[in-house]
Amino acid sequence: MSTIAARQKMNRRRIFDSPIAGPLITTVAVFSLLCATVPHFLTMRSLSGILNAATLTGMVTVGITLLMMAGEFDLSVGPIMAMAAFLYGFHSVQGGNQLWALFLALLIPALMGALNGFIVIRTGIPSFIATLATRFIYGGAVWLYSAGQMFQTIENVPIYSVFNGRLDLIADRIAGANFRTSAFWLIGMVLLFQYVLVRTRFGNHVFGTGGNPGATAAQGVNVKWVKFTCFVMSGVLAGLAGILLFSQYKTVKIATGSGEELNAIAAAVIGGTVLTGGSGSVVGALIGVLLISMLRTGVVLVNLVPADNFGAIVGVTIVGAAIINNWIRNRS
Amino acid sequence: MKPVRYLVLLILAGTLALAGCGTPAETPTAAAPTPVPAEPTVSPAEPTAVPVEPTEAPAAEPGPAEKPLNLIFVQHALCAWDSFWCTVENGINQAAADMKANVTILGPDQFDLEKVAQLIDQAVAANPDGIGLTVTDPDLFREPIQRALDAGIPVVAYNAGSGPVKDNIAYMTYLGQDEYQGGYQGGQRLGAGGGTQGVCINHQVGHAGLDARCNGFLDAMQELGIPAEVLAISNDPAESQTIISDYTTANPDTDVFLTLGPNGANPFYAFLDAAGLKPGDVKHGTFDLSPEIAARIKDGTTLFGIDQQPFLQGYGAVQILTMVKRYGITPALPVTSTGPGFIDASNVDFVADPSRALNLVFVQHALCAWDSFWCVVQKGIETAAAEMNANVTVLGPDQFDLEKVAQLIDQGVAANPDGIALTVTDPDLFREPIQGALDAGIPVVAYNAGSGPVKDNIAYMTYLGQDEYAGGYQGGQRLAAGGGTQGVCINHQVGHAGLDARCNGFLDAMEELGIPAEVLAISNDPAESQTIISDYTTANPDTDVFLTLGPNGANPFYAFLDAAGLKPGDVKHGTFDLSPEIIARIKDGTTLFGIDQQPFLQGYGAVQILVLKLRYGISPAMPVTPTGPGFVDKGNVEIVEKLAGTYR
Amino acid sequence: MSETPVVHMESIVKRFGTVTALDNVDLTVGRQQVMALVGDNGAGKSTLIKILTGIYMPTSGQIYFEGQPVQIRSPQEARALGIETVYQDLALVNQMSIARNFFLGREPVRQIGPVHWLDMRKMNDQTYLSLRDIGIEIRSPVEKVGKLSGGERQSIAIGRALFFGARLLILDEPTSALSVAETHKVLTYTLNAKERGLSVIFITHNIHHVYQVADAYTIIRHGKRVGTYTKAELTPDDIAALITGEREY
Repeated sequence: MSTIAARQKMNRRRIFDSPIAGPLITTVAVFSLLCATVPHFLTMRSLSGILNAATLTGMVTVGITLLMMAGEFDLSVGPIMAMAAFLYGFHSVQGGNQLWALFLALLIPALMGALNGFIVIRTGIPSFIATLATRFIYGGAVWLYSAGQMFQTIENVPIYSVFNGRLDLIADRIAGANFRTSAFWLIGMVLLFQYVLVRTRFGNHVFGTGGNPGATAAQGVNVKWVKFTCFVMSGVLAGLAGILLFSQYKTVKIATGSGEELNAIAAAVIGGTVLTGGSGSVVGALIGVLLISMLRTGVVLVNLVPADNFGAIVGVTIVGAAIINNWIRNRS
Repeated sequence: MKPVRYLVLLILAGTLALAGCGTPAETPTAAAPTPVPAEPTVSPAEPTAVPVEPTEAPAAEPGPAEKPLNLIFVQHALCAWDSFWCTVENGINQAAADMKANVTILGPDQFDLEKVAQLIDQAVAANPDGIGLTVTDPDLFREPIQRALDAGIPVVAYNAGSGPVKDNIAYMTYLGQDEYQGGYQGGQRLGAGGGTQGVCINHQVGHAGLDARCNGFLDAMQELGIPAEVLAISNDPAESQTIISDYTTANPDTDVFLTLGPNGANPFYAFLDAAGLKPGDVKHGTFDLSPEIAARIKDGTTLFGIDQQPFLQGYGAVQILTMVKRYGITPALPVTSTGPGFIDASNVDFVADPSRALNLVFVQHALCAWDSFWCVVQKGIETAAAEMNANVTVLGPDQFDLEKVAQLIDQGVAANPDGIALTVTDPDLFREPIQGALDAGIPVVAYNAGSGPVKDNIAYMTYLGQDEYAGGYQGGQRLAAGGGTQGVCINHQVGHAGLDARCNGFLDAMEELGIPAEVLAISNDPAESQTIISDYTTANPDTDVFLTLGPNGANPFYAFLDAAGLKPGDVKHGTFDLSPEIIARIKDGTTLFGIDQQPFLQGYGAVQILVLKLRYGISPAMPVTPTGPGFVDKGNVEIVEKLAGTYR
Repeated sequence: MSETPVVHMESIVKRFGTVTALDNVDLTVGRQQVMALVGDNGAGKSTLIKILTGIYMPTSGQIYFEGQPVQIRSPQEARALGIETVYQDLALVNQMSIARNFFLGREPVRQIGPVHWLDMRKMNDQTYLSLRDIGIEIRSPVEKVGKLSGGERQSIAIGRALFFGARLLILDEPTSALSVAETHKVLTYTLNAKERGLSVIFITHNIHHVYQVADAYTIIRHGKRVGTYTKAELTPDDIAALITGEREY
């Protein structure tokens, strides 16, 4: 058959083939359900709140998704986030050089990610274990650097508005809207990394590394370098999340970011990324965080469960989404 | 691969280098607490001892300790014509010397309340740094005291008064004996070894204070399951003796007796002698002291005399005023008890020794070196040690390790200090070592951690710390004072006993005021928490009273306020703890108050209690001596801000 | 032989510690020749091939490629010489599409700045077309490899090797898990490869499969080369006997 006909035929299959088919269906269904049944859900305030609450976890999830696609985990993103926020905070206040603060807050997390990659590649320890260890080590580093103190400022440093400023243009027009510039950063990163994943040579190597590292290595790809790069990316994005956090809340403490790694993995899985690697989508990760954030708002608005038991709902969502994703994957 | 190897080594070296020299660039905003530069911890094996040298002059740093304060005290009686007041004035003068204050004592030539009111006006006109006075007649004194408050002069009441709430005058606190507590604790002590029947001998039924003493006694007896009642006698000693004698004939099982002062004790002793009763036949305790009572304590007839500790009334009044003016620290409760102070066979012979040199050992479960909260406690300890000329050594582990702390307590006891203060972080673990100190006759005080000698089941003197429940309760009262529709307590760590207690206090206060309220649980993630708060208020739009339990709750709350476009005054907000952000919000009126557990006072107070005990034989009045809640609001936020990180 | 052989391995010895896997083995493959490398399991066939593809270095011995002495230190170097291998496990990533697998490690790209953008159109089209040229019809180049049958995957792997391979194609047990029809296809591709000018080393322990396509046989037993024979010299039974040791020559 001609290539044109072949291409037409393949386009028809594509919808169910897409890794985000499952999460997209689930999210649209949940969104519709919430709009219909929950009072005040379809308000600017609620919707902007959902997006805002998703940006920090979302940023981390982008990096985690990329790394999971390559077949590895990073459980140390929490302390990396905290370290970035401390560095950024300490160096941007009292007339400090804002660009230097930004640079440091991205460089050090990159190095921390690099160290993660180095340990995994050199020693062959599974990344789950290795980053579990570095999680504690980096936590200790954060403790040392911050001297155990919470850090907070009330200064209005210009760079904060760049990363997580209030979009006054919208806010002044629409009551209750809390759209922030961090949403742009998140969507930008999602698009960037999704593009890198599916449209670049490096992305192809990532798919291969996660799907079948032996086969990929046999084809001449430097699997170790691919994984190393993904670890660095995960670190940098966690750093960016820390920057976003501090830009809005101007406060950071040692516990900042703890638990983010599991939130991110949950969102990635809900968004269609396979735990073993090689299949998934960065856009799916965004869908995953939005779904979780949506559910949380819905739950509070309906006063269904006390907000501190929200974790149970996330658990149910993970299982449900995994089942749906699996079913759709098998159907195609 | 080679170039990659070099790159990786470089990265590793760089990371290690950065981890090693992790000092922040420069100290951040003045309002922010100063992060201590990262210092490597000392070698794990040794505990860290921080000796605090007593200094002649106040500590070298510039600050509040330097400036002497001018205080004026107005009493309804003077030492010159009522010897009770000599003890009070001794306390005043001693405190003035210790804390570098100039105190002028004013009083009438005879009992004349109008004259006292005029003296109060004169005091206000002199514009002192603080005023202490006896609120003998609240209605008569209300106006002059209000003038002092309007002029911004802090006011403390001592010896007479019922507290700012009951007296309906907004002075800081009332220092005096808690009459009910005296009777209650006295009854507990008398009935401790068992008893058949008790009687409270009241020589002035109708006198509110004396009646309160008997009420406390009766409640204690009831709790112990011992039947008891009040016996009224008169001012006539012969008459009184007969009444007592007849009563015991009619009630031969009576074996627990409480008298309310020398006017009751005297006829009682006469009765005992006439009946031929020996020490130990019956159990007797009394209020107040006299030479006869002291003698009977020594020979064992009387178990104790209860002292309202007039020395402490004077001393404490000066101290509270200096605390407020210098460190912005407010007394925790509306009523600060100076008594009951129990004088028994162990301390009846105590002779005050104001210049006695003291070596004190403090044992903490954390140290300033690795937990900056404790730097403020340390500051309190050092300040008190300097002012009261005591030698204090602070011991603590290198990291949170309770077994290590228990060992340090043993070491502290072995050094045979004059007094010990410690954090009762784990009463079961520390019970033995503390008992070792008590058995050796060393007075022990607990601070920052503990629940009091009764709840902890360890017989130390008192526990100094924040009363979490009271903080939430008083916070709720303050917030809803002007009215409110619906309240919420935002808890960022449900399950933490202290935080839960704070919310419980708040909810109870709201309930009393008839305002519906509940607890909202948030998380550690600020974005998540902000959304939860926002969604909650969307679902409950009438909510206008908010209490947060610390910066972890306040920070997302402020983000929510800004996002929702709410202005100061739109809702009422109070929070626990302080932070630069919270301080800024108190100043601009968004937040009504921050509640401080006043760690400075924990350290300071622990030293002070030991010093008072060892030099003047004065015991703390209550099993729990609250240092917080200390409310920081627009009135005192300026001074607190200046001292953040050091004194606060 | 009149022509220079494509590859000539001489006196290859490989020891792993005290174990001698290969003891002075020679292997020579001529131009456009299908050489069957046969022997029982554990005889040393895989080891020999791994030396040829750069995974192992020989303890002693020399390899000549197109007459030149070479050292093959890595799979990349083997590939650079023109040696392509189809491994037993196929080296395909199931979650990726055929086109992505086809060009994995050798993606056609457009470089803009530091970024290498995939030329997806070229990838898809070339995959489809070149497989078709070999005789492999696929439904769509974006179909995931995991959805194909074992035989189809085998075809893709061979097709990939044929596309990129220049000189020598090594097939490691290609028919072990296949049906009769699929086996037939693989043998057809093998002859196809030969027609296109490649030499093929066909490793197997199934004599009957390889008898149809092989020009010559090298028999390995216990790490030693028993002998090299042309098709004319031996029947399948003869070969079997040589493998098991019933016959010595």
